[in-house]
Amino acid sequence: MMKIWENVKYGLPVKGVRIIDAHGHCGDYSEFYNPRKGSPETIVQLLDNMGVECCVLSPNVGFKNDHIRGNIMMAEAVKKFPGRIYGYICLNPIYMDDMVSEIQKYENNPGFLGIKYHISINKTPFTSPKYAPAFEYANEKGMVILMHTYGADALASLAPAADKYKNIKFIAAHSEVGIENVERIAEVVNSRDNFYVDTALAGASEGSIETLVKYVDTKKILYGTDIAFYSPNFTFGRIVMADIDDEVKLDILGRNAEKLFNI
Amino acid sequence: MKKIEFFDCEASFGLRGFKRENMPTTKEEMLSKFDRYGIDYALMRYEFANNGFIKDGDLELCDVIKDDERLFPMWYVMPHYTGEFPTPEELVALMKEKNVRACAIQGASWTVGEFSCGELFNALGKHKIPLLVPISRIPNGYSGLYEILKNHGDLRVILTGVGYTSLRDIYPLLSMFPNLYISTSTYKAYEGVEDTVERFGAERLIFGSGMPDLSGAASVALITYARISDEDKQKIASGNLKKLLSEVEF
Repeated sequence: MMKIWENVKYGLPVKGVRIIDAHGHCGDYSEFYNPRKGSPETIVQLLDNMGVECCVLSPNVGFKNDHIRGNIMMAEAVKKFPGRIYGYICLNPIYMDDMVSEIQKYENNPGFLGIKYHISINKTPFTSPKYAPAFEYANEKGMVILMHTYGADALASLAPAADKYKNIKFIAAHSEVGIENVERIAEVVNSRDNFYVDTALAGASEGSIETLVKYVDTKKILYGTDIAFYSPNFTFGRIVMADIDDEVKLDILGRNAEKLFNI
Repeated sequence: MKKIEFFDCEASFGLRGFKRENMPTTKEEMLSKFDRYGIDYALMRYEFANNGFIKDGDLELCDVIKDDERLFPMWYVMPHYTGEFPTPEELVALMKEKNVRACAIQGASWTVGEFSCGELFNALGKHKIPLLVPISRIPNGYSGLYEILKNHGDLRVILTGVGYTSLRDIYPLLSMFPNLYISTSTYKAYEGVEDTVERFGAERLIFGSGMPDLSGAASVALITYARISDEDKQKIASGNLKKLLSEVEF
């Protein structure tokens, strides 16, 4: 039987493996030209192209400027493609007064699996009290929160929140940024039950995922591609073709997310 | 099903001052990765040549890979005015002697501009020798590239480092300059390969892995999973580069 990584050489979908993309986006984004405008239709086509079962997305407009409008768009997408597209509720700590009400609008919608914040755009450090209303509510409900982090410093700055809100499962995005600091990343992730990382990254270096797997608890690594922000094809290729144990690969590609999101 | 043949325009090997864990640096490590990812051939640059020993390193590269049928030399080049490097005419003669059919801008702190490289660009353009240029090395980025291409219409530029946010800059340049090619190593816009092929044809994209600084598996998958015809995939993966190298005139 052909090993699954051989499929990449032929551009074939990977079959018989449950693959869940835990970090993606949808919709257009004003900062650069996206030829397909991040449309949900093309996202599902690309999932099929690779053999990916589903993805969890946040709306670009949601973190760029209008989280309320973004969440409405996200709800439309998950309704249109149930089981293929899931959403994160997009929140902005600048508008702390409506954070809880936005969560409450969507928390009972089975198409939404968590919350997303984008610190680079909202420019509010994770240590800010502005997150407190949402964190307290999410902690009470045991929700998943995907945080945009970029580098070991940002990732580590999320640790105090993870320690305070132990029922929230935090995902720190783009964990391979500055992979040379992987031991620091591992220290943060491995010592906390509620701390996960994902693989989304446009410029990962050769050997990066092998290094991440060597140091970080492999049950805490989630497959993520940033689908529709940029192409998902290349992250798919580097994870599926990674020179790592097959069981670990299956955990990263889907099993860890299956357990985390309970889907 | 036939595997796509890959010919990498953007790879290097050799020891370097800093390397990340699991990053391949030797020729043997790179070949092992090529085998794993299905990369059949590669133009190789040599880190020793990039680190201030440019002429010696370029010549040594030819010796180091001479027995590897899958590897072809790509020389680092720089201006000749300090005497550290051959004049453009001498360079082309040396490239002819060693059968080196492509070169790359060295990654050091000199300015890539008309005043420093005009003669070099003229010579490379005259002989149709492709030049690998990182966009990060050109002052003023895409505006600077526009000036170079406007002044040197014959120069065949393979541009590297074109990111997923750059289509608004790269599309006008692709429409204006037929000798501009894009290495795919960082060309990761959402359906950007597909959109570029629709607008400009598959001929303008050339497979580059960017290894070892970038993931080779990622670069291969960007092409194999592109939603374009198999014929266009093959052009990007190897056909376009083979054609460029075959058209070099010594």
